[in-house]
Amino acid sequence: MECRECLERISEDIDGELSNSEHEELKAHLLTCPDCSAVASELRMINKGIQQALETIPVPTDLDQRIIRGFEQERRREKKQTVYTLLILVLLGSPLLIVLLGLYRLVNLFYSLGHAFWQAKASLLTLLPTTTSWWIGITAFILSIIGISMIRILVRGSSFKGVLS
Amino acid sequence: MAEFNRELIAKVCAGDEESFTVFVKTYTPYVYRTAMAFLHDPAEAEDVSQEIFLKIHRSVSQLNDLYAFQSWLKQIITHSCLDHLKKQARGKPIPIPDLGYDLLSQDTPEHWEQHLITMEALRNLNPEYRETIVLREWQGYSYDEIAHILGVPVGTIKSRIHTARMQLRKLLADEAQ
Repeated sequence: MECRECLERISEDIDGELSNSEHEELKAHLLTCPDCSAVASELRMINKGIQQALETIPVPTDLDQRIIRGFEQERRREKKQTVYTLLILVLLGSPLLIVLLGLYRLVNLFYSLGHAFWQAKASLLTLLPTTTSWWIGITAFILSIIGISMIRILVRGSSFKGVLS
Repeated sequence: MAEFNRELIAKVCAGDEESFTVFVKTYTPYVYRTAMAFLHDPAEAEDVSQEIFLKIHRSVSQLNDLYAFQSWLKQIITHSCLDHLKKQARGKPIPIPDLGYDLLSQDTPEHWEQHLITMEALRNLNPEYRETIVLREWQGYSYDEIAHILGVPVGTIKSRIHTARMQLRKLLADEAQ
């Protein structure tokens, strides 16, 4: 192995990234080359120095307390946010609930009225003779046609004759 | 990194707030020093430390395997610091560090001076070399893992680490003269 190749591989050897055979080859060269050996020990010393320097970086004494206080503030803020969200939902939801209740009452009223009319019609039809019932039915049918035609006139603004044609 | 305490981590994962406080106290030095190793700015390192613990607090309950905690934590710390470095590179210039080594430090003055020189040399490295050497020396990642984290080929990592060490050697030698 040449010095140039050895120098390129020293870092990999320090990091344990060389295979056994490569490591042995490098080791053999380092034993015979004092220059490369000096560089290798120097790089190992630098590594150790970096680790020691980083391990001894002074940590601000109250940093953990500040982080914990930050969490407490975050939790309080989250709680507040939850309360505000619920309040907003209630405030927004209340009118909707009132409208929905009104709509329900209206639908219920229509249903009750319809049911009452249906009941009255059924009772009347059973009380009256068959021929009269037929006449009532036919009259109701004609009135419905007229009613629909009137609505079409109102909507389209066309003449009665035009609607019928 | 602080020694793995399975009981404490289990409680933290279960959402126990008191245990989380103990966890913060235990891991703050490691988190802060890692942030300092990457960012070289105490104020930024404090912000990132806070941010890291917040991320841990939010996502620790999703951790299924307790024994994967150390690598999961290391991953969060590394990615937060690297993200911050990217923002730093886009925005303001790298600050002049006030590393906080002072005479009140427990180390002897000779030692802290040597540490200061080493940190200064580390700071003077090209940012790409610095982050690679920190990932290797401090975080203990393998070349393959660093290549994966930084999204570059393993060959590039080998070259960066070697160049970084040679540059540090030169910088420290210059300082010694």
